[in-house]
Amino acid sequence: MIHLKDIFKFYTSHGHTKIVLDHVSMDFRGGTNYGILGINGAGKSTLMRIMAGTEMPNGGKVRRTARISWPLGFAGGLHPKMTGRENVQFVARIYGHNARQVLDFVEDFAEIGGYIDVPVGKYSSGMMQRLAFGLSMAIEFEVYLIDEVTAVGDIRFQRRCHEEFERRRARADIIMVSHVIPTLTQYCDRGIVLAHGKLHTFSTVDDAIELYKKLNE
Amino acid sequence: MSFIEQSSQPTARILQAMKAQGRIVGALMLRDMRTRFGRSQLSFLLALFWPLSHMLSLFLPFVWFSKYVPLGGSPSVYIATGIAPYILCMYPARMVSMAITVNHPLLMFPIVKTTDLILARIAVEILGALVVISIFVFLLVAFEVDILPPDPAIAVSAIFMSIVLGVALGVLNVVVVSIFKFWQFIFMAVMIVMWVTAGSTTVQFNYSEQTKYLLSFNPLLHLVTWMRSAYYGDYSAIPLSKAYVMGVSFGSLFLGFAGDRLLRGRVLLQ
Repeated sequence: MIHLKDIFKFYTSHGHTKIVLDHVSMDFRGGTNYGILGINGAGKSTLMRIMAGTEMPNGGKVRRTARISWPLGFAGGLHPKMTGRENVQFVARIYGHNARQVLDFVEDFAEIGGYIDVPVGKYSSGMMQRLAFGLSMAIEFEVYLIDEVTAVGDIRFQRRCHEEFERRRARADIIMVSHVIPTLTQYCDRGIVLAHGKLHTFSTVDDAIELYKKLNE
Repeated sequence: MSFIEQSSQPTARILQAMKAQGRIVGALMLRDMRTRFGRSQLSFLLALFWPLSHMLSLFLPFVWFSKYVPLGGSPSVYIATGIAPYILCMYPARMVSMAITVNHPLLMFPIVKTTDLILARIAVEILGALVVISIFVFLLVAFEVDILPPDPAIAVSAIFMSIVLGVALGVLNVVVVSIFKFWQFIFMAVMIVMWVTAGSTTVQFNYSEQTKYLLSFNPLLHLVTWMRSAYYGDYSAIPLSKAYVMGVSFGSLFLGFAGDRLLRGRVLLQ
């Protein structure tokens, strides 16, 4: 699915160098859902971006043998001057999906009504989240990357997000970063803790949570 | 389970990958054209007004004040053939160099690569430059300027290479900007120096040999000479080197794409 080999990643800021991933190797296998834990600033989001291919490591190799999502619910790629409809059509086109079908799904899922024809720059943050989440669900992926967010909006919409996500999980895997322990235990089979540039893998999420709690003490 | 049907044949896989990249670049082009200037269906055409008005704002005053010109009998033809290569080179160079910075959020879609953004921008800029030169020529013909050259093939090749040089410098700039943040400003200064020394409104007959030697490194000067050779034959004060223009263009293109590949980590951080 995703194979990390000897990944080295550092950032330099104000003369200080921080090593985020220190020659990390790991195979994320198909059929397993992974939950990644770590204290703030440990480099979890960086790891996700490297796995997605949107950021490069300073050393090592990443091999992907699956179709990987953008971070679930991410709205940054939507152009503010384009309408919801135009943005959805654009994303459908780049992923080779039928634009009409994707649009129908998103319109039904996001429930933003006539706002679909309004530039997304004029959306409220809630509407933007609904559109972005609907779009994430409309495109088929083999691996969903989730950085903290699993649901947005009011309680009813959150329930719809979870239902749709459950359906998606039946035929796709997830790699999730979250500080919310119940969410991790609900969705993930295996746990990983990122600390001091190293990945500590565990066969259960509960074992990973134990280490995570110790790191927070 | 796989959502992507992948062929086991290497040739089929390559064709599949090329088809996918074509689809992505096509979608990026449409998005770029729609959002270039405001958000109307005519956005792309409105954006072309900028290089066209720049071209006319240089052309009209020079023609107005030119009592006589060093070559031929028409100031309009002489000035137009000097200005066109500059505009056709500068605008693609500037716009291609911004291919990543203005579209950076799109890289959060894992399927979109920096190469796709650059290729889409190149295609849009080539299209835009061709529309701009077509409108410019149309306007000149409409005002009864005898702009159609005796040797159209040479003029067309000069137009083509002006755009290629612009695009190539733009691709190289994408990489250089990722290393030196202020390169955009330096590059604009370099372009102005190239314009001033390209002989767009003068001919360098009276320059010393050393000055001519130094000027011969300016690819824009060769492009202006190339363009004018379609109208005035072999007039040049500095020997035209098409090989030099092609060398700079394709060399920059190669270095740009190689840099994008080798320094992708830096390019992604733009």
